[in-house]
Amino acid sequence: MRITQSTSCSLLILTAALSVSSAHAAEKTKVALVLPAEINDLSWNQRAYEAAKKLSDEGKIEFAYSEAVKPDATTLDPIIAGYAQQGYRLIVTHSFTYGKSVARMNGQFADVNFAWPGGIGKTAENLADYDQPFYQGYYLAGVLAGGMTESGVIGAVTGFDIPVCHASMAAFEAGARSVKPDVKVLSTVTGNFVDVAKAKQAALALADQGADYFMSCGQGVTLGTIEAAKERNLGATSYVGDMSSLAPKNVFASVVWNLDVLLDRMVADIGANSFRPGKAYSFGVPEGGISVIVHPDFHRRPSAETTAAFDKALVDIKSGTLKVAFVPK
Amino acid sequence: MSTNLAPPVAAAAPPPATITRLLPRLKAIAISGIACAAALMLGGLLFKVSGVDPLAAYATMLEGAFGSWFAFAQVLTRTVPLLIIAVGLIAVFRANIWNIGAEGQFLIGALAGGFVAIEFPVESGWLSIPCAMLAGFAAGGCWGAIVGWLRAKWEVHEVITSLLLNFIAALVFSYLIRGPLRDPMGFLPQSKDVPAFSQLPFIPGLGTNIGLLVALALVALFAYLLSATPYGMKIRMIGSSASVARAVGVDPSRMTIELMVISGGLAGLAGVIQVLGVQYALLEGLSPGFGFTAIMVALLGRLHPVGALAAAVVLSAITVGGNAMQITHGIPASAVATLSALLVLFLLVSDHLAKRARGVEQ
Amino acid sequence: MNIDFLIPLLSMAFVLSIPVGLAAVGECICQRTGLLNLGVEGMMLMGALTAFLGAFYFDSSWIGVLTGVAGGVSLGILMGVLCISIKAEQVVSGIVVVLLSLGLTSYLYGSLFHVGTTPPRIEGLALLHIPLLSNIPVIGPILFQQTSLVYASLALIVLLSWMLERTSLGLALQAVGEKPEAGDAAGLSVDGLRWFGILISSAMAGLGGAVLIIAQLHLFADHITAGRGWIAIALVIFGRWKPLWVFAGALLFGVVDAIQLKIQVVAGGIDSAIPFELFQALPYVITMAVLVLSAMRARRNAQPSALGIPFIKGQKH
Repeated sequence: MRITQSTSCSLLILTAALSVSSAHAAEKTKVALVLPAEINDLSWNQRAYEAAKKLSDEGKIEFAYSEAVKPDATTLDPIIAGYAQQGYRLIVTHSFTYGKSVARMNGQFADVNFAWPGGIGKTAENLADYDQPFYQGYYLAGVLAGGMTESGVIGAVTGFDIPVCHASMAAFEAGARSVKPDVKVLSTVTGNFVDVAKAKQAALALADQGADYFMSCGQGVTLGTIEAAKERNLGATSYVGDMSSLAPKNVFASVVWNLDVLLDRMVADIGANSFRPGKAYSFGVPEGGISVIVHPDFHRRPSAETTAAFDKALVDIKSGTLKVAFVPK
Repeated sequence: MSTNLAPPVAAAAPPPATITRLLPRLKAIAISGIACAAALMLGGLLFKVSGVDPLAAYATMLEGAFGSWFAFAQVLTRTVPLLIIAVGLIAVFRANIWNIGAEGQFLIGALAGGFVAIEFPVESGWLSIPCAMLAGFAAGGCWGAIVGWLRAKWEVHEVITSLLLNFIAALVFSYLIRGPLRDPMGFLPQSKDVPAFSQLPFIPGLGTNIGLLVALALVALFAYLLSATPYGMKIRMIGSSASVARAVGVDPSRMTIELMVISGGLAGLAGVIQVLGVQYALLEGLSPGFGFTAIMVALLGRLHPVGALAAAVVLSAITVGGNAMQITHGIPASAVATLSALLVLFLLVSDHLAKRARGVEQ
Repeated sequence: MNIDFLIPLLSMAFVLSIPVGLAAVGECICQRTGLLNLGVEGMMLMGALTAFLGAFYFDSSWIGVLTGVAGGVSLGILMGVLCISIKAEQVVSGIVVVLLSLGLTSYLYGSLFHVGTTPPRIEGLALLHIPLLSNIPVIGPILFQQTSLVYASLALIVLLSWMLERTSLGLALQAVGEKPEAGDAAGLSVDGLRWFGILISSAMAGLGGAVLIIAQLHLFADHITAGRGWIAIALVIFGRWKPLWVFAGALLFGVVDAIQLKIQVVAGGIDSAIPFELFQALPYVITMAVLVLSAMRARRNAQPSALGIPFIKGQKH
């Protein structure tokens, strides 16, 4: 009896809530996020979620999301189709592994706008591509690493050798070289983005070979390198989001992806009917899409030269005088 | 097609004499019903905690799986790989060989079949599709044969070899799509697309590809093979006692390898169908764990191909419906995953309780 | 290969192998009673989460260890009800336990620590330097500079091995795994002993998860066990159902994994001409090779005869 009462109650509330939100929704763009992992991953997915949440709090969009969506078409296609059929105007499919499905679905739902992070400029009338120029941020983080490393050896750990990781590593190395030309980079691929323990051991192995500062690519991988840095009191770099609270003394820089800037632009373009034909959005350091947070609680103070080199590189990248090389392979 | 899939509940009115025989059966159905209700209530509790009305969520789930032809076609598309793998697993499981390497056999089959389809020199689907399927079957079969051979020759336990080969297959797959098979036009670790002529055609009006027909044909074939032929008898025999099998002239070693080829081959075939009919390319994450889910399909289907058909549809519907639930109500993916696990758990419990109620003990 | 290279390598191998070794030894005892527990991965994962929560909320690593064990056992009870009480199929029961744990741990963690809050972390245990022993060259740094939890784990493994091989309880456990009908006729409680097996197995898996979190990682993330439970099951078969050999198998796996991480760096890491997948595959390939070699030389099958078969009183299989 009580159950039925409470259910009908909540049904009422639900309908009420729905009618209220639909009244407001008239001018808001409905955005759907399809995410490859959970929204509390401190990284790739959390940043996307937080961006949408921010725009939604500002009253610009109304959004829904699906998390932990596997990239196989039997899982992915129905989810994309579901959003398309429910009237979402922009579907952000937030993984490069979704590309093939998106390329099929955007043909089936011509009135819906799609965006995917291929970073290869593959677009269509209603499909935009947005890249992840993390490498620009990693160049800056590399400048800091070059200044902070005492052994002159930097350890890099990645889950897989995918373009975004490869380019980040190469740029990090270039950044470090710009301040310390003889810096040596040792790297390991763990074959896994979630195995934190393995990444930690890989990082410790690099430390045993002299590395005293880490960069990493992949969420679980980065958690592992941060733990390793904490255990040995070394330096680490946070990936895509700010993970410094895990080890404030050992994370010196966080490369952060500000997807809100990107999403805001896409939504504005849809509002202004200029989303189509789909563009290749590139929001790097100059556009504010990527930024680097330097954490003051690090266990050592950077030298004045290091800070100066970082500031100069930042200004140069922002102004376009310094073009960081993109080395995906 | 859909008539086959309707749950076999309502039969013609039974003559009164069979009522006593029917009672335990009714009891069994009641137990299953109660178990499912229990799972749904537990899941509902999770939703309630997440601030979602459980009834509305379940309505969405049902609608998401069966509410439209489009939705149901998604369920069927997901059913196909599960079913094809499960049919092969049923054959080996009946022989008491525990192949848990279908996930790896699926990937190896997909690689071989996908490669053939992508690189096929002649523009003819009539040639390329069967060739790709054969290649996938052969490759998956070889991958399975390693397990069978090691067990037949030196009694190396198949659970460990098939499990380890899963890890190895995943690495082989990820290397090949990153290296030699990568689309030269792109950076991403993905192969070229399967050319249009090699893509599996859709069944007219059904929204799913002809893989479904292959799966159903295999169900019929194996249902016949396993229960009505001497070969099925032999499988059961080596499953219960190798010495008895030998006494009547069955060679358990040879059968072990043969069955592993069949099981691995069918998993490989499922991989090809997934590439040619659904994904149209080789890429990371091709299987969301089909090889493991198919083990549940085979066992929940009580090692019978027709049972597996029902189980595959139910499990697929739970997943597809669960996705709809996530979209419409914003329920966390983990809550949906928990609900599916609970449903399978209670299906398993009810299956066994029902078996007892019917007095049909193994 | 010089000694400076070797010490950190073996030390790392040792650390990598403890969680999976604990789970594997527990699984070994469970399998000896005839019960195939495929739910290890799920139990480890649940143990990892509950250990994290215990340590986080009570601010004590040792309470975390206890809650970790309890988390594993909670799924052990479920597995026991399924496989022993209602005689459900063991393979599918195990897989269901894993699926349930994957969903539930993610759900619980996600609900307790919302997006936007500071990611939680626990302090964990400090490394203990055992006086004198830790100064022994080579062995000292590897064996005697670990956390106390690691020593406790090693003691537990030895104890369980002794229990299984040398005590009457151990004999009884083995008996119901080999010939449950005969054991039953001799007055042993088959169900009771299998309950013992699954509880030990789930407790050890939970402990393995707890060690992973409390002694090594100090944080939780979805699916943080990353397949270690499956390796544990493989190791039981690899160690031919003898607890100490099973643990030795875990060490070997750890050594190969540590070696591949080292060689990869030497070979040039991400820019190496050798595909990294080859290095990643090494532990699996070598485990298989050793397994095949040992099987070629072994004369008999060590598998408990009744493994995987539900025991129903008064019924032959």
